Amino acid sequence: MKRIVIVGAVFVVAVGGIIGYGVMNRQSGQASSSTVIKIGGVFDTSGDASSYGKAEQDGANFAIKQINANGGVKVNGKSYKFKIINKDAKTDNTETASVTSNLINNEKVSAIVGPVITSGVQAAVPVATQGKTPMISPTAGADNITIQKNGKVQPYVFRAQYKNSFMGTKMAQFATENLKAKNVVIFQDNSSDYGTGITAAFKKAYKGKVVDVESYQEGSKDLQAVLTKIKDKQFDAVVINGYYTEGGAILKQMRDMGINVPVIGPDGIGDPKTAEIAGNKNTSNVYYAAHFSVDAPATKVATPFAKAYKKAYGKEPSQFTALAYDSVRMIKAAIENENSTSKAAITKGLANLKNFEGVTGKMLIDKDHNPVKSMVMVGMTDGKESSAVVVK
Amino acid sequence: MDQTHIKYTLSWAAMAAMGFVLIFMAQMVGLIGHYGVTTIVLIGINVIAALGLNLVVGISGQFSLGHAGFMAIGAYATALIMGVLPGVMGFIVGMVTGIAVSGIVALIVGIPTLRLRGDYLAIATLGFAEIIRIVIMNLKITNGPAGIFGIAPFVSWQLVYILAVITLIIVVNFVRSMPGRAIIAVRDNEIAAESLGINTTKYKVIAFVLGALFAAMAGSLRASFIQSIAPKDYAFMQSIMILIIIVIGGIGSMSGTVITAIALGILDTLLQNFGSLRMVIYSVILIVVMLIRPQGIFGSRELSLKKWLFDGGDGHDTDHTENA
Amino acid sequence: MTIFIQQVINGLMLGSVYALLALGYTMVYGIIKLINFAHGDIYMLGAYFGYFFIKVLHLNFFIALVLAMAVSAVIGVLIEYIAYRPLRHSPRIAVLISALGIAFLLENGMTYLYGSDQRSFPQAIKTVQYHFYGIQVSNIQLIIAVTSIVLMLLLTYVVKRTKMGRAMRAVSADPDAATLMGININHTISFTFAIGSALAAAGGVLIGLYYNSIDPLMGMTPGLKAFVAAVLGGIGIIPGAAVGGWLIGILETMVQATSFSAYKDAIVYAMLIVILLIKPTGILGKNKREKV
Repeated sequence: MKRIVIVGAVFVVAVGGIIGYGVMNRQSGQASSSTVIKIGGVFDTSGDASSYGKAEQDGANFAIKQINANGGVKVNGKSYKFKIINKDAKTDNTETASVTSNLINNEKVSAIVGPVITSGVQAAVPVATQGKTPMISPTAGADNITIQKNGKVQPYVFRAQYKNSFMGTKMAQFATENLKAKNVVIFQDNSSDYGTGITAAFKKAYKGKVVDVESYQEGSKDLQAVLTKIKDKQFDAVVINGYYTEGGAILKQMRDMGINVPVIGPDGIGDPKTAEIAGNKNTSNVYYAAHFSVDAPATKVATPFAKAYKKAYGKEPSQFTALAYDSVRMIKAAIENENSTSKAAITKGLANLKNFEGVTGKMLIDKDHNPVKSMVMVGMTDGKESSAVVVK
Repeated sequence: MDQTHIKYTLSWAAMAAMGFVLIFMAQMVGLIGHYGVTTIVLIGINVIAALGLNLVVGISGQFSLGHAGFMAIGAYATALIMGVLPGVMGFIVGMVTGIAVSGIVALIVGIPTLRLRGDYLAIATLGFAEIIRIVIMNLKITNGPAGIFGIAPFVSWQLVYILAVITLIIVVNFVRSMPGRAIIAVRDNEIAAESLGINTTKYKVIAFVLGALFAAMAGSLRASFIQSIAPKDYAFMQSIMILIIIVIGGIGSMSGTVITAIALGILDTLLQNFGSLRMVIYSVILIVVMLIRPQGIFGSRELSLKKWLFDGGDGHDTDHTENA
Repeated sequence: MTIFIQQVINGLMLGSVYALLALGYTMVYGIIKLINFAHGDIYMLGAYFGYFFIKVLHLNFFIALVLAMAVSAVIGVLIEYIAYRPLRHSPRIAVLISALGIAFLLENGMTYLYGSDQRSFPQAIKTVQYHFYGIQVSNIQLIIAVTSIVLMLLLTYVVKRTKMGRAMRAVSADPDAATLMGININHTISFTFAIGSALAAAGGVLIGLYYNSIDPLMGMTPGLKAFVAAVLGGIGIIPGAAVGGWLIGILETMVQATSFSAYKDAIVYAMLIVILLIKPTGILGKNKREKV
């Protein structure tokens, strides 16, 4: 019987403790007026999306460091410093929801940069909405992430990336107008919405004939079978809707097999790694959608960014890095435009952002919270960027 | 029912009620906010899924690596039905449908494959779970790899808590029922059980189907709580994560499963602060725990209130199970 | 017809790598009944060692291959010593979780230390394409096929003809009886891990060269596929692993050659289940009667 008493007593003490905490908490109140603006970073630094997550985390951290070193954020004549709190979302949607909630409710961040992929954003949207915290995803592409089911815009969700349908449409336009391609074969990464979403938009907008659509999964690097199959078909261009990891492998095997038609890709292909994986000699006659290009800078801030980043990290920034870098700077611009550090002000500032000079282009945010910026198709010859065409 | 039995039952009920009251109070005074509630709900959902898997792996001894597949069925059924039928009704109908479909699939899958043994069964169940995921990923109605989002939230921590307690009650009572004992007999010695006239396949299938029902319930709860689902969530790793809970807790120990799910849930929230080192630390902990306690924290024993509260101490000085 | 032959060749190439990996799985399983989930990650480590030897130390490709195999063998033995040996008399599932822990540790440790980016593998051997009657094969594909076959033959020789091989078979059949016959079980198991890991590392280096890219998670999918291959062939049976590996390679290629590429893995798994239902112990597996 003694132990029943102990359990009872422990319970009573615990209840008492909780009530005590509640009373104390109410009395102390919250009076924190610091000069720090907390930003939450939700990046997948482990799991399938980790190579993109890491690149974006580096970009965001670099932006924060640079902003703080250059005098911070100016609000009403007062200078604030950014502080970024990064959490790993493990490329797992449940985990993404959990870390987002942690950042908003425990760390009390003013804004969030991330998540990296579409499904992650979808899992984080309810949390951000509930916590009334603006969230800007550097790279999520699905059209509907910024739109609610009833067609209204998601009030707290923004992105720095083009939406998939925009990219697919522009790529189709480029294929017809610039490459004069009448028949294409499409490869799509069907383990992400990125690949399938762009393919759908491309097919809809493309005026020529889509000879074949072949799917591959994340991590699959052997496409000999599919390439052997399509080799003898008639087509003037190949479209690879996916990321550089598999895209580079497809390019290599394709060229090794003697398929030398032009290759078009979305921004996921636009990474220095594509040429590294495929080999420089195989990376000719390749065109990809670019936000950011070292050789064809979109704005005057792009080149200094690339130089400073290379100095700090010892490598060229990728598009993922550049987009995350811009996301942080968009938050800064929003704060300075609204002259307030409150979450509501940042949200409003992001929604009304205009004439923003990003390293990925001069942009404004439209009514659906998508960035409006021009799309450049960068052409590669021998692994080097050799041309840049703006697709109107 | 004799009086002492009522006493034990009541003391378990009191434990569960105390846990409920503690969380309730803590939330009311703001000790745990939205994040705390999220953590509690996710732990509760893991408890439900893991109890189901423990029934299959621990009690019936069938090594299944396909739990994620059944969670996916529950989640997608709920999401799809809620898309057509809004409101609470949609959620309830969705969850019930998900559970039912999952049970039927488990029956269809189970009858032929449960003849396989050990690792052959593991690979067959893994294969089925992957097939389910790949089909979901390629169908139009499930919206491909992007998944479904904007699922209405009807899941509160109270609901998950109550369902987790109900799951625990069902599982524990099932283990002690006639079919439960038959299943254990099949696990311990299939040939001996068969010679006693037990239809071994039937009992293996019963355990497998029950496990699938709870998996579907967990999937369904998570879909409505997170408000979005994607095929990525139900890959092989999801099955592994649930498997880890039951192995660390002790194969066949239901109280071990519950406590491990809570401990790992809390560990996860702590590790969120370690950034890239997070999974490195997690894996080291996993290896060390297995080296120290290969049979799991509880082995195959159960935490017994009977011994602990009423018989005076005989070595069961474990944690309280308020959150059970 | 030429396309069909070309596809079969493509399938055999892909299958050779699965087979190399599956051999390691099957040997370890045969001797200690463990599904070594860390096996795919040894393959990844092997690729990284190859990368290091070629890119940093500028060694010849074949020397790098042998060195990578040797280092990985040592690591395989160490892993067994630290994480599996203390659990030898524990429930099998405990060792399985320990193996998963090692797999997570290798994947995430490498990510932490060297980043999760893809690295391009140094092209130590220049790709040359050969054409015979409309069929195209590259020198790298030939190297993969020849190396795999040589290693498999070597393994068969070791297992069938050497003293150590006999010890391995004895331990696999009955560890207690083997001890009584004076076989050192610990040495035998260490040796098995060394060979299995060396084969996996060879696969990693060859694939690094072939696809020209390596990353810390590259072992996950092939690891799982190799496990499937080992089970398909009859787990624990060495020729079974080779048969399983090639079969899966050809199957995947054939599915991709038809218009179901999106369902590739699903179809492979479905075939696996059907085969297991017909032959519950795999293609070359023997049906052992259970004793009471």
